[in-house]
Parts: sequence; structure tokens; C-alpha cells
Amino acid sequence: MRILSCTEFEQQLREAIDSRAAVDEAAFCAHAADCDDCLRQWEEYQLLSVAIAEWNSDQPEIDLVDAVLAQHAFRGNEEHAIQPTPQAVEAENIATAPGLESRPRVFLQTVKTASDPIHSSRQRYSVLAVLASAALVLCLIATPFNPPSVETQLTGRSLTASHPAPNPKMADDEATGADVEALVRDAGSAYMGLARDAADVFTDTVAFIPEQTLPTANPTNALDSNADDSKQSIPWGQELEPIRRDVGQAIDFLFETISTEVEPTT
Amino acid sequence: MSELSGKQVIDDASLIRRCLDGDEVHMRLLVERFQGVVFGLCHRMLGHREDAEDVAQDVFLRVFRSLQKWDSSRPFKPWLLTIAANRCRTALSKRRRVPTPTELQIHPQAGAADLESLGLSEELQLALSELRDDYRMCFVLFHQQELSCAEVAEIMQCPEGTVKTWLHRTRRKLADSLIRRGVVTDADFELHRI
Repeated sequence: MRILSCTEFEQQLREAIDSRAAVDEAAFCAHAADCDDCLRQWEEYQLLSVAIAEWNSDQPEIDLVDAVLAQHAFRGNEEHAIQPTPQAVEAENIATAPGLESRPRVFLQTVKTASDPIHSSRQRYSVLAVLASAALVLCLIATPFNPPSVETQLTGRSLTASHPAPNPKMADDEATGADVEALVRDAGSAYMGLARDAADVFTDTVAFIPEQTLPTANPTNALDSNADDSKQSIPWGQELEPIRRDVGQAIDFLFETISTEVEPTT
Repeated sequence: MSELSGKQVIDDASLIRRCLDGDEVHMRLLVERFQGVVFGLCHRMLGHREDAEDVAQDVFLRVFRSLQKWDSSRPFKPWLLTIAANRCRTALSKRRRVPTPTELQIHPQAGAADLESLGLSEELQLALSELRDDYRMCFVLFHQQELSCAEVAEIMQCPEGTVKTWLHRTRRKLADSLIRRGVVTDADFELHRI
């Protein structure tokens, strides 16, 4: 048996460790017996060989399968609910194709995500947001074309300011003279407001009735009726104008009378 | 390792192709096959079972997410262990910001009575937990996962020579630690007997 030098001993030991090759124990022990430094290395090698073998055998058991797959399915659903990937779209096409019911379950899960609660609620909220925006835009557009009311023309005050809602709490309070007077004033204001609204509605109705064309005096002759361009036209707005004027005067009279009695400040 | 009943053992490449198709049965099989490897690395690196379980689960989730990036011409296990090693590094860096107690604590005042309660495996793990992260990673990948120095170098993204240097340095430190703590094995008796 050839006796190793210290350099050979160290080199061969390193190579044995790096390549996990078996060592010539007799040769190593023979050299280690005469060299303290090499003996220390040899002892360390043997100590670690035993310790590593025991360390490797002392591995706890583990079962991560169910936990991993559950988390994978959960995160997959979460991601697809936020933004469907092209793979999911493709999978949907595949899954809906006839004769492919045995497609992978994970892909089918991604297809189902289109109807999951998170996705549906987001769609619903988006639709509501669009509708609310549209309504706001329509209000902004319609506001400049809203004609001034008769009440505004007459008094220059807004309708809401002229007939405040009666305070129901006041009726529950102990009836005093001032309270009764305030209650009567509120009732009068409310009545005036209603009267003005009725006048507005009537005025608008009369103003927006279009002029209608009445049939010809002799409808039996269709050819004549077609040829004759001089049709008799009666403006309905003009016929209703006297009624509107009478009712308007009555309401204006009532309005002026009540406003001077109940609202002396104006 | 429990493979699919009634089916022959499937190789890694075929298994991963099935996983890429979204086959849940084969995804389950993939986890079954490699959970010991991943959890072993995490457990040895982190020294804490619950932390290791969390990190191992995270590793598999990331593997499923990026499985299409795996180069089928190369072995799967080193690629998987690269992800696991990176997650362990991240977990260790988080632990430094928020210290978490490990299962095996170093007690400088531990006496001989305390040492008797620890086996050789626990002693080695205890000594390992005192080392730098890269030394520990190198040791675990080489001795526990039984990867070659070249594979360890690829996973740790460093030259192979560096891995060999770290490996021998780690072995030296571990042996010093074990001897300092009075761990004596049958190897000593065998040595003197020879």
C-alpha cells in the first residue's frame, strides 16, 4: 500500500467529497496515523459522514397536495375573475365545442368564473355607473331648456321658497296663538304653491297643443280631396286661449289676494 | 411516493406536459412526487416546520404559474429547486426584518445535560443554522438533495469553484461546531480501532 503525502491526502479527500466517491480508508488511516493535521481532517470527514447520514434520515413527513391544489384553484379563480386570460377564452371555446366534455377540470373552472359573484357584481356596478352617468348628462342637457314657470315670471321667486312644507312637529306642540298663525301661514303658502303648479300645467298644456288639420268638408270625393290643397285648418290653441286667459286671471287674482294678506313682507 | 394507481410511472417531462394541459390528477401527482424534495430544502434552510410548509406551498404555486417557462430539454428537479431556493432566501430575508423563533435555538449556556437530549441529526441542524445562508444552502443542496457541484452552482448562480470552496468551508465549520459541543460518534472509535 502506497503511503500518501499530505498534499495527496488532502486532494484525494476533497475529490472524494466533491464526487461522493468512496475513499481508500486503509491508505487514509495509514497516513493520518502519522500526521496530526491530516488526522484531524480524517476525523472530521468520518464524523460528518455519520452525522449527515443520520441528518438525512431524520426528515419529517409532509403532505402538501390538498393544500397546494386548493390554493392553486383559489388563486386561479381570483386571477381569472379580475381579468380573463386569452387561455381562458380559448378554453371556453374548447369546452363549448361538442364532444369535448372530458377537457381538463382546471380549464373548465376558469370558464365558470365568468358567472362567479365577484365578476357579476363588478359587471352590475359598471352598468349602474354607466346609467348614472347617462342620467347626469341628460339632466345637464335638459336644464337650459327648462322654461321659466308662470310663478317665476310673476313674482321672481322660486316655487319652493314660496310654499314651505308644513312642519308636522308644530301640530303636536301646545296650541298657542303664534303657532296657529304660523300654521295657517304655512297652509296658505302650500295652497298657493299648488295653485301655481296647476296654472303652470294648464298653461303648458294649452301652449303645446299643436294645430290640427280637420278633414275636408266633402270627404266622399277622394280625388278632389287629394287635389285640393286648401284644407280647413282650425287652431285648437286659439279656441282654448279664452279659457286659459279666464283661468289664469282667476288664479292670478287669487294669488295676489292671498300673497298680500299672508305674505306682507313681499 | 404514491403514483397513479393502475398506471405506469410517468416521467417528469410527460408529467409536466399533462400539468400544462391543466390536468388536475397530474398536478396532484407532481406535488406528490416533489413535495419531499421541496419541503426538505425549505425545512433545512428555515429550521421551522410551519414556515417550511408555507414556503413549500408557495413554491408549488409559483411552479404551476411558471411551468411553461421550464426548458424541457433540461432536468426538472434543479429548476424546481432553484425556485425553492429563491423562496427560502426571500423568507429568510423577511425573517431578519421580523425575527421568528426557530425550532432549534442556540443556547450558549447549554450544558452537557442539554446536549444529551439532542441527537446527532439535531446537533448538525443546530450547527447548520448558525452558518451563513449561502453556506447552508450549498450544504443542503449538495448533501441533502444530492445535487452535483455544477448543479448547485447553477441554482445558486455562482461559479462551481465557489461552490466547492463554500462546501469544504461549511464542512469544516460544522465539524468544528460538533466537536466543540462534545458530539462523539462511533466513527471515532472506528478510527482508533483501525
